[in-house]
Amino acid sequence: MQRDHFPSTHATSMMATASDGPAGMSRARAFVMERYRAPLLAYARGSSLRTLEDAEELVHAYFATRLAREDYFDRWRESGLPFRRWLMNGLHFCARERRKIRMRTAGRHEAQTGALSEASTTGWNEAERAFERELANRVIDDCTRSVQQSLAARGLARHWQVFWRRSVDGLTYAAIAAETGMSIRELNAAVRGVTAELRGAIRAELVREGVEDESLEAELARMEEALRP
Amino acid sequence: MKNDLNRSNETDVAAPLSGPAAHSISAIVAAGGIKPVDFAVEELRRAGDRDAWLERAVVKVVGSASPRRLVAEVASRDELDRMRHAATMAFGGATKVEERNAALVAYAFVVAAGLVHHGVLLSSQPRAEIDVMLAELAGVLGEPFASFLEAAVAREVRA
Repeated sequence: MQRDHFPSTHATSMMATASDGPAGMSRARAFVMERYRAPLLAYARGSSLRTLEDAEELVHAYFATRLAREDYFDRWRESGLPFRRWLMNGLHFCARERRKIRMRTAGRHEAQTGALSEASTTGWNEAERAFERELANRVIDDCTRSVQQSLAARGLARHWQVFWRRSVDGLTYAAIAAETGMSIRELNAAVRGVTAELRGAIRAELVREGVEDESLEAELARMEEALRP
Repeated sequence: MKNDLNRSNETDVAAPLSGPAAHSISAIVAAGGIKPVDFAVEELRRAGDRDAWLERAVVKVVGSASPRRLVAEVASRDELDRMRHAATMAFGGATKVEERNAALVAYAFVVAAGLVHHGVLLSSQPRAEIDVMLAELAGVLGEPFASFLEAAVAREVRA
């Protein structure tokens, strides 16, 4: 059996949000569009779907015709599929449906539908990698922004700066100490603190998407792998 | 130095992260769980007399070299290499967390002595990880040990 690279996603907080009346459903849809639009675009552009339709139009159509359904989240739960897989499969079905409509409109016979279901059975291919990369990018981007703003609001903007110099610019503690006048101990405490806040924020986001506790560390490692140049 | 897509300042929150920045942060976050040094730090925090704990731990692992001696005297490279080997073996062979903590602290002091007194990194671990280990221990130890460990972090390695 092919290995499933996606974490189990069943009773999730996203599902709970969607179950919270019309307002909850609306929030859940907004979250899906905000979080998954870019990954789905990357997926559409990297898969066989790119030969069939403009990726922007396809993803827009998917949200308008599938996500808008009242039973969208219920059907996902019943499918037992991880949410990411559900999205990718849905995009393929949506493309197939739209192609049929276009064919009918053009008075032609449906053909080559086999290729459309290809990705629903493929594993860790390039399109999925593109999806994963975009999703990881989005999660990291959102969480860093949130932590950065929170630190600034608490008067700890400097902690973010030293974290950046250390973790992104790759400077040594010695170089940052010379640059900022902070002691090694202060620097280390600041970097460890920001790292812990980021870990907390990212883990919370993953839980929101349905990643179970025991899979969180593996998921963090997969995010790093997906973002690797 | 500034990145093209820079989020190093609080005023740059709106800018999207660049791909390399997102990867660097994801790597830090993925590796940011509990480290071996955290257990040693926790044990030191609990110790009533941290100096005494340190003395016992280092002497037990590397023999005659007390942490005060490693701070004050210049041990030879050969001697430090022998101590580092002893600490590495003790860490690998430890069956209890207390033994592992003692070996790790002894290892840290030997590596710090190599940096401070010889300007060399006596470890195959990445410098960034060594710096974190030394800085974490500096955060729970008194003087002169904390300053010694900080001096090691601040010391450039000879090419």
